[in-house]
Amino acid sequence: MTRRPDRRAVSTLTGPGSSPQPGDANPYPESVPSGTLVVTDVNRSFGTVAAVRDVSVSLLGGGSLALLGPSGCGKTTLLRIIAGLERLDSGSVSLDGRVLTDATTFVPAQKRPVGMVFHDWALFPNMTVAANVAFGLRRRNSERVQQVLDMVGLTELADRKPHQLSAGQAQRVALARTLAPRPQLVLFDEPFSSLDADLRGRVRAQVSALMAELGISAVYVTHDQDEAFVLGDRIAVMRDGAIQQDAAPDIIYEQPASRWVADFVGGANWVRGFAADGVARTAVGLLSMESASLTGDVEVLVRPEQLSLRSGGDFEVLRVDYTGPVTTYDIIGPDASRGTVSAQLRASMPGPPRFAPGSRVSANAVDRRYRAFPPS
Amino acid sequence: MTEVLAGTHARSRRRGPGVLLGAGITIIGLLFAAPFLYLLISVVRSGSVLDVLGSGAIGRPLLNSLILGVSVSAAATVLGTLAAVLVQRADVRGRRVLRIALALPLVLPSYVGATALLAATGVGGMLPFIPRPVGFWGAFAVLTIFTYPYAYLPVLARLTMIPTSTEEAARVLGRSAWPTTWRVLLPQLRPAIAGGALLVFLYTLSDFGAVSLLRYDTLTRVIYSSRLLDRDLSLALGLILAVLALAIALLMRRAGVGAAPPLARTRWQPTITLGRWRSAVSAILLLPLLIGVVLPIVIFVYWVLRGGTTVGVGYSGWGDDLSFLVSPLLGSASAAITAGVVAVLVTLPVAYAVERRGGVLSELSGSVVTSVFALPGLVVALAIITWTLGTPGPIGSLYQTFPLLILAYVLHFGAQSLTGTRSAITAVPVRLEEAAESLGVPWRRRFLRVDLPLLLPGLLAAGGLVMLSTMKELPATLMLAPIGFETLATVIWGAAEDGFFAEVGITSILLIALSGVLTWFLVLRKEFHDTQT
Repeated sequence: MTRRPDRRAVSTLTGPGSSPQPGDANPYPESVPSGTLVVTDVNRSFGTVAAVRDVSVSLLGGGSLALLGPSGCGKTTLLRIIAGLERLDSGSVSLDGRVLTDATTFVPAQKRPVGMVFHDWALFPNMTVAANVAFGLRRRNSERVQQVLDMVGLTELADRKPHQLSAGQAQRVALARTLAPRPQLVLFDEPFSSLDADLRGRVRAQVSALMAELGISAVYVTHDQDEAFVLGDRIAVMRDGAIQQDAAPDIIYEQPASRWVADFVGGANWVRGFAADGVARTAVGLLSMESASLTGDVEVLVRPEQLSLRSGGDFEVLRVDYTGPVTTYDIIGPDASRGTVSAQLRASMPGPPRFAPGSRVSANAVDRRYRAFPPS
Repeated sequence: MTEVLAGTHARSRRRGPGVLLGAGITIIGLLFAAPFLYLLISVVRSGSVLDVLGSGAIGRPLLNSLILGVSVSAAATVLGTLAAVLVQRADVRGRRVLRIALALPLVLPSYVGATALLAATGVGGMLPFIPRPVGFWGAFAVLTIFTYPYAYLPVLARLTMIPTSTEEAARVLGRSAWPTTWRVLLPQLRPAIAGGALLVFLYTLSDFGAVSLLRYDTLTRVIYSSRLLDRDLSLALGLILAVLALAIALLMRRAGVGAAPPLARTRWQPTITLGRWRSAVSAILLLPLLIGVVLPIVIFVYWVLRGGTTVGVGYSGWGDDLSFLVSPLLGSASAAITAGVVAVLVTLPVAYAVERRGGVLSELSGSVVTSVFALPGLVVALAIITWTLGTPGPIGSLYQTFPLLILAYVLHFGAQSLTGTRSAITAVPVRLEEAAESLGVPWRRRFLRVDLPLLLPGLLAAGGLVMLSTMKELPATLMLAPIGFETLATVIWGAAEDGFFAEVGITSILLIALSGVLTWFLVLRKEFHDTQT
């Protein structure tokens, strides 16, 4: 079973119609793995709407990138530009040093060594599973069909038609079909959004494991933060066509580049405080800040799990939500910096509820460095 | 027309109609079936079918009908499918306008198109250097241009429902536009293409005006021309045509132009980029509109301005008295409005029974009404004439009266009205009735305040469609109109046969205008509203 082709083998694979030109010198050193994507200053407008604005992002071969953002942020347009299903107005996209598209070049979708899994999976309803999988192969190669069906564990469904498949099976057929022609890069357009929650978790874990095992670069488009965190080695957070932050998941969460990113990724408390010498005085204690340069009125980002509650204090518990592993408390209390203004915060702590609504608590932020922003 | 013949769907509450409603819809069903049962029985009893079959007189017209039907539906299907795929999937210029423009030849009845062709060619026409294309090629050209929208519209509707992602998947998997369209898109369009092809075939088989004016001896033309001199032949051919038409309607039902569940639509996205062919293809897609709508109107205007001969009252040139148009206009209007109102009244109980009560009886009367629609107007008229003339007493005395003409329209177009009245009834939710009942509102008030406002749009559409069809109808009007009763259609027909093209021109322009307005409001607006993007 050739589940783990070595890197050298992968780097010599070519997709359909992408036979390397003799003159095509690879400008990258030998160490850069195949499937390296570079997107530079890409712009795309539809009428007066700028769908993608000055986007630059890159992905080292074999890695995975999640494009995360609310619907309409341009992430799907960017994905389609990479696939060759959409044109760009300016900028360039290249794969392994070969320009796929820029102001003068446009390699059509069918000539790119790029695969794509669509959000509705786009299986050909008139063909069997095997014919779907074989569609991207230059000549009918039943061995390869068998091989990829095996990879996704669907060998016994080869003769089914798409309408006879469950959602999870259809999803895997779509993946097998995409992998069959050995693409160097696979694009996923919200491929798990039509699965129900239980299945979604399992399938995306399997998919990301398989992609990592095969060493094929992957770009995932998603609006779901959990999904992005699970799937991407790196996450590019997009908003209104532009990339807000491009970093590893923990950096995105711990050190968001902007208030918007902080709010979009996970829950965020904006605790008002007064800063001096790298320390902010707040209602949840003295917080040391990442940067000492910010002084005066600040708003400190404190995640709900970074607050711990103790009974007796200035805050009143408004609401308690018990979800099993954690309990979330909405609390209200005085605002340290302004005395009269009250602040509403959210804290989440492991275990079952320990405080009832209406009880008095004190809130303390755990000891760590916090990121602060000027007041909005 | 597609949806009219598409058949009935499952409903949940099936109590069956009560005694009164049951009796009512039985009478209506029998009324729709009677003329055809009479035709069937009289032909079978006289044994004339066997004689005619033996004589060989049937072979030629049947063969001609089939040849014309097959070739027109093949050409129209290719044209319609190609146009729909290009306009919905390629990056053509002026897509929004083209989508509607490509359906517009629908506005002209085929006999008007044939008339335009006759008026343009030959002596005095705009294009005298072109020989008059009478016979097969003329009929083929005219019917293809005027029936391809019946293939275009269902394919277009289907295309808007198929997500573009399968085609994009094929592109990403390394296939170019042509294999993608051929191997991925067309198989998904097959039911719509088959449905459209059958519809065109049925339409061609039923056509009377164009084949008669262009002198191509199909079943309809021979049935009409032999109806007085060789009645047995006429009736036997009528029966054969009826059986053929019903068989095709049955096939269409089985082809099931069923709708795929529409997926969430995103922005319209071309999957075929035409590159340097873009402008050329966009221009070519305007040709059907130019040939099917603009050219006939230009030809008619030419004749109106040029003038021509006529006899008695009529139009012979610019500045002539147009009062001769009053009588056919009133005739068309009175026939259309009466037929529309009566059709709605007659089909409403059937619609209610089918939608709300269910049961075998309801389904049966619904099917009878629907089936008659598949029959050519000529056969409907033939059956009604045979029935009335063969039945002495009150029914016999109806021959060549206005009520009998209306009956013919109602029978012929009842299915259009039934579709409309059924959707009108489904527009009134059952829950709403129950809610009103539970509030203790008296039914009269409930009907006026709740039901009627919800029913009205559907009923108006149903009546309007029957009006439109009635106005364009030719053979039944020719055969059943009372002496001296004229409509726009019969005036065009008479004048075209006599070569009075100036008169044909002015009357046709009037008919096209009226039909255009009604078609826009009743057919196209809805079609393109439903399938936007």
